[in-house]
Amino acid sequence: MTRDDVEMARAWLKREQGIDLDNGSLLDPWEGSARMGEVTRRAAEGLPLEAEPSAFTAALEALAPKGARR
Amino acid sequence: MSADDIARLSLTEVARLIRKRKISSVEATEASVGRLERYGARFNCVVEIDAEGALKAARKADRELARRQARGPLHGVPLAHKDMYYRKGRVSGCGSRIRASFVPDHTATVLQRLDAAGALDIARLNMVEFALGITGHNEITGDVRNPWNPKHLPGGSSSGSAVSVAARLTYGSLGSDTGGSIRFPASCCGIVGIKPTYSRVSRFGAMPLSFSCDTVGPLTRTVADAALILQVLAGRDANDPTSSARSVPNYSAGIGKSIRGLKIGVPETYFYEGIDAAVEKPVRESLDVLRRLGAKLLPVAMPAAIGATNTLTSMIIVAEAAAIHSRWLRDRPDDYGTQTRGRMLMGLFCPATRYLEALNLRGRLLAGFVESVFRKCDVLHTPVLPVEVPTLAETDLKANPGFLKYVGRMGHCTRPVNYLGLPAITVPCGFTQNGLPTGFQMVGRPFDEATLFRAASAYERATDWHTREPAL
Repeated sequence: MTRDDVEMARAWLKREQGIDLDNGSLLDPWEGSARMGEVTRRAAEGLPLEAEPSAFTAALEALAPKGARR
Repeated sequence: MSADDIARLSLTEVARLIRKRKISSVEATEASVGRLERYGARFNCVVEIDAEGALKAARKADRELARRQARGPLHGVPLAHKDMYYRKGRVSGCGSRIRASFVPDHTATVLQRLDAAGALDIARLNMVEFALGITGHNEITGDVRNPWNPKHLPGGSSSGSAVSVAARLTYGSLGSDTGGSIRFPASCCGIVGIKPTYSRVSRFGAMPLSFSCDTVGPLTRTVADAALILQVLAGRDANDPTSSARSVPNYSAGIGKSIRGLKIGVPETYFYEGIDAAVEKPVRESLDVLRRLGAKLLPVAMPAAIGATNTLTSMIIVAEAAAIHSRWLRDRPDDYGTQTRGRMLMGLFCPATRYLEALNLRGRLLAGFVESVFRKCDVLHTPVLPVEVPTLAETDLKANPGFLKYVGRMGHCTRPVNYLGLPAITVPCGFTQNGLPTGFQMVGRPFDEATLFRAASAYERATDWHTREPAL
């Protein structure tokens, strides 16, 4: 990651989130976020994403064993 | 019985003896307060002890019992909790500088339920800053220390809870688990911890970290104690719209019952990747115990998608935490510890598209996991912590490069369970070469905490790890 990249991240954070921090505080979080984003993007690739996230609790209820059903 | 002997009783035992008036609530409370005062500073596990209020409540509990007016199963039992459960009019510091003087205007549902069951709330316990961290470090309120060896980390984020229960300062304690924050410190300190199914226990009045992953549960010395507390906590709460309306089974019904024929899955992939031999040995030995008790051990291949779930959990946690904290991050960035701030900042950089993908994949991955794992077995047995409990110094990486990756490795076995929303219990299963405890984890089907309690209690009865206590 170049110095320009970090400057860009700093400028983005200031503009979008209203937070102004030194470059040293930003590098690890920015890279960490990029790593997580890449894993997530790959995991989601090719999968239909039409269901609402809120359906998760319904999925938990539906997948409970019969003995634990309401 | 001496005060220290009373403090060493399990929660179930002390509740029974108080109910039968063999010992008084005042005696149990004095024993607990005495040890919190004597040892709390040594391990930095206590924020505040309300000795006066505790003894007043204990005297009242004894008077009620004398009139045969027991409030519930925890009548007169003194407990102390992680400092993130709101009680109206009392400070809830959340391990932070930012909320050091925060006084909530309402009481958490879980505290209300413990109150109604007769428990006394006698102290606030230290924790990782805003519950965001698994090691137990806290740059603001100070690191909590492991009672088995104060040079070693206690695990977090329910660090003060785990230490206080292990050191016999309290009989049980509420923790919270968003990525392993009950199970990880329970394992590091040699005690029991249960993370219930997502939505099983109300989060109303509990400091939020991640709406999608937060769960509330107890840390205790025995499996029966954990079942007793969860029984009080679980169930629908109108103040928490995410809480399940499902009826709550009798969690103690399976305690002491046979596990003959119970199918225990042993993961062939993922969970043992990168595990230290010193940890793997006692974890594998616990499987031998379960087999001798009549359980059937079945190798189970993990779905390939499990490999991404540690990261997916982190994505959700940091994005939601950053949203909750965005105003403070903007206005008071220097009031955070560097570890906490670094992780929060990571959330600010997450694209909304990735966050929504991580959320949307959950139901699909859960269905795949349940189908491929729980079609073959009743519970899945795994390690908790892939390494021996490290020292505080070894892991005091603060904001140094590599810190986030290191933390990611520590949560390898716990975070996927939060992503999937499944219940999981940790049970102590021995000590590693450095003299620190370790444990195993059993993961169950959604809302099947009862089977976890049955299996865990069977193991506990066949071993004596839960009776070991650190020499103070």
